[in-house]
Amino acid sequence: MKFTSLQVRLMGTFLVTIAVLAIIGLSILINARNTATTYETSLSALVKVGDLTQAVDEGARSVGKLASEPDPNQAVADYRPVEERIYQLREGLPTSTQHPDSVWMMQDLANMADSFLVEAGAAVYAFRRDDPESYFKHDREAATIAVAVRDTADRLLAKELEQYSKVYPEVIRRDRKLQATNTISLIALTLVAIAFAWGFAQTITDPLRHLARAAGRIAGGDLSGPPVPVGTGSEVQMLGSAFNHMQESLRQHVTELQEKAELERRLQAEELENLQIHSLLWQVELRALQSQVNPHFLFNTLNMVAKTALIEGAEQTRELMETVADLLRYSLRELNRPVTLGEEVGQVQRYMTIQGQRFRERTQFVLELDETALACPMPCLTLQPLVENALIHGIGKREAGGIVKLAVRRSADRILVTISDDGEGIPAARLATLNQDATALADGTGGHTTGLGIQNVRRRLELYYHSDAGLTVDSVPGRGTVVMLDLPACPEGANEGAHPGG
Amino acid sequence: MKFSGLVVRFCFVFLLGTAAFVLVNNLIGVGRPLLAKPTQVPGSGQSLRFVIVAPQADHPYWAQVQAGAVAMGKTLNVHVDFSAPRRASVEAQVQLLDTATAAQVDGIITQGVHDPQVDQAIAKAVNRGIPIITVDTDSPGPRLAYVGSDNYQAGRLAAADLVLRMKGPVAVGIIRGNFGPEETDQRVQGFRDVLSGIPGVRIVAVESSDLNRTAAGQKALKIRQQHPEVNVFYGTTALDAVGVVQSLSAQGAIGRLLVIGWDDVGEAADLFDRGFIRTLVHQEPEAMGSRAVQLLEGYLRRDERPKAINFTPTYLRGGVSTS
Repeated sequence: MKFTSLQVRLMGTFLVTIAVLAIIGLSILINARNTATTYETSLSALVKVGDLTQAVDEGARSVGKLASEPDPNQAVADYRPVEERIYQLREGLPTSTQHPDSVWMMQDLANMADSFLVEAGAAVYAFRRDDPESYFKHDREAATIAVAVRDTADRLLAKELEQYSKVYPEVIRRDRKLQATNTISLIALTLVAIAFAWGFAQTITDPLRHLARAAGRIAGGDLSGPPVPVGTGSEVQMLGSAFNHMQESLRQHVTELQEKAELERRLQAEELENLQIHSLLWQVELRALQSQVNPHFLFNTLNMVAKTALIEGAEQTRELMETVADLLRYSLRELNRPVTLGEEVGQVQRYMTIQGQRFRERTQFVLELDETALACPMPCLTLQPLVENALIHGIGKREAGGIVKLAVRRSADRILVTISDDGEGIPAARLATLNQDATALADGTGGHTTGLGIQNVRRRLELYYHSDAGLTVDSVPGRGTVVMLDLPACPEGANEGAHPGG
Repeated sequence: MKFSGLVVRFCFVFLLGTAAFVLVNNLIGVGRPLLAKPTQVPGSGQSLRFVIVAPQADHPYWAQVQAGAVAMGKTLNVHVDFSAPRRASVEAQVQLLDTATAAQVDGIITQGVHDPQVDQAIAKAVNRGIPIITVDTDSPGPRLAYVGSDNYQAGRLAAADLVLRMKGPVAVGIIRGNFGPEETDQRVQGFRDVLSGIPGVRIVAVESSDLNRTAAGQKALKIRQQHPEVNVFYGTTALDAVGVVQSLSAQGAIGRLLVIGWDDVGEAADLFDRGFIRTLVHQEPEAMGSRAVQLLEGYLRRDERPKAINFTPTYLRGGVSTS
């Protein structure tokens, strides 16, 4: 883009405006001067004619007064300047006239002035020579000529004015028209000059205003604004471009800073997370230690108490202690390691032994076993929760006691395990839920001892047997409940073996 | 930004345009002069200049004199001015003669009127070296020459025409406008001289009208009352014949009358065309004007002294011998 210095542009603008106005003013002046000169020339011509007439009149009067003046010399002296004036005026008569006919009258006037001067001079001469007759004669002549001069001047003026009156309306018309156009033009020019100045100032101040606004925005911390319009080539454009460049660099700089800060923040967060994870791990470890320490401590204590009971000869107590210890040990074993059906049944027996000690005569435990099925593997702690349920829900609330029966039967490829009681039974609505849904059982039990509910067992069976096992609950309220496990059977004689809990 | 830029550009163009317009407008005014080019006053003595001092402005007869003089002036490169008072009077003529004298014109053409003041004014002009030619009417004296009709001869012509017309006894009434006593006398005398030898012709009355149309009419009525037998009127000027016709046609008597007049100009010419004036003595004022200028020019430029008396042609209009 073409670059023009602001100074050059300002100077140019001012010069153009001033020159234009000056030229117009000058032309108006010249025209007015021209008109005025025309008027002046014409008028001065007419005025000269009038002056000459007046002077001749005055001359005639002063020549006529000679005889009546008390001091003759003074009278003559009075006439001299008038004579001189007439002579000068006659010499200064216009050499041209407007009306072609009046040129002759103009010439007449000059000649008459000459005639007058001759006659008046003759009269004065005669007067000084004391020749009254000659004086009066020439005086009369001079007076006659004065009349002729006035008459001719009148006719001349009339003719000239007639000529002027012909052009006067045209002069007036033209002058008014010119005046009107000049006035309108000047008003228009003034308005346009104002608009010009405004527009020009705008081209300079507009970018500056944008610049100022943008600068204010940047000062307020907002770097996201659009680039400032820079206008046409001038210093302002340079300023604008520099400003835009600066804003862009600033914006890049700030972006980089922000990215760096973000990176740092993220690093710190990661570090913190690591710490938290470590802390959690430690906590978990601590808890695990705690949960391991207590049962082992309890288990060892139980064993120690059992030995003490043996030493003291309390056989029954020792047996009880060992049973409790076994029960505990089985519970503490690794839960995801499969056990045999036999081991499960053993656990149930130990559990019932202890519960038997607790409930004494109130509970009767019946066991029906098919020995061939005992070697088959199954998930750990499957039967105990079901027996617990039967004991707690079926029998626990009855004063008269009840019967809990565990039966294991085997067909060619299936094992049917039945846990039944003759307790209160389960309401129909709830029974339906138990057979269908996996969610509601734990809540229904009210958070009791083991916390393992029927749904938990069902879920574990499904996972272990890959949905080849079934768990069905049947109940008649007031008569009792039956839980049936339908499990796949292992080949006969196969024994996975049970792992003792550790 | 863009808008103001446009404004600037537009304003710039407009500024220059208007300025040019105003400039051209004003300079055209300067170039166009308000007044016609003035006429230069010729210096004294560069070209000849004559003035006709006529007895009355707007007079058809003197207008013809002027026309003839101006036409001749143009061919001879002489400027001829015409000055005349609104109303005819000796004082006015004297003043105009004095003015022309004071203006130092090269020559004056005027009417000789047999008045001492006019004669004095003419003498003064001649004393100042301004030659004067009298036209129409002579006033013998220091004037250079006379140019005009042969009034006596014209009067005879008119009488001869009457004689040719007459079919019985004739009684003539004469109205004489006293414009210049000598010329009028000549007109009447020529008329008389012819008729005096003719039997059956009587001139019963001669009345003066003082160059006044109404007076002429009254005098005609007076003659009719005193001499009812009058059947011919002879008016020695155009005004006389016109006054006679106007007053007598109001009486219803004009049909039986023969009116003879002078000068077929203005109303007289009109009445002649309509048949009220039977015969008109025709003079040639234009010839007078042009001849006078010719004589003055020859005298001033070539020092050719003219004859004192120069006749211009006269003839009859409506005359029996001529028509």
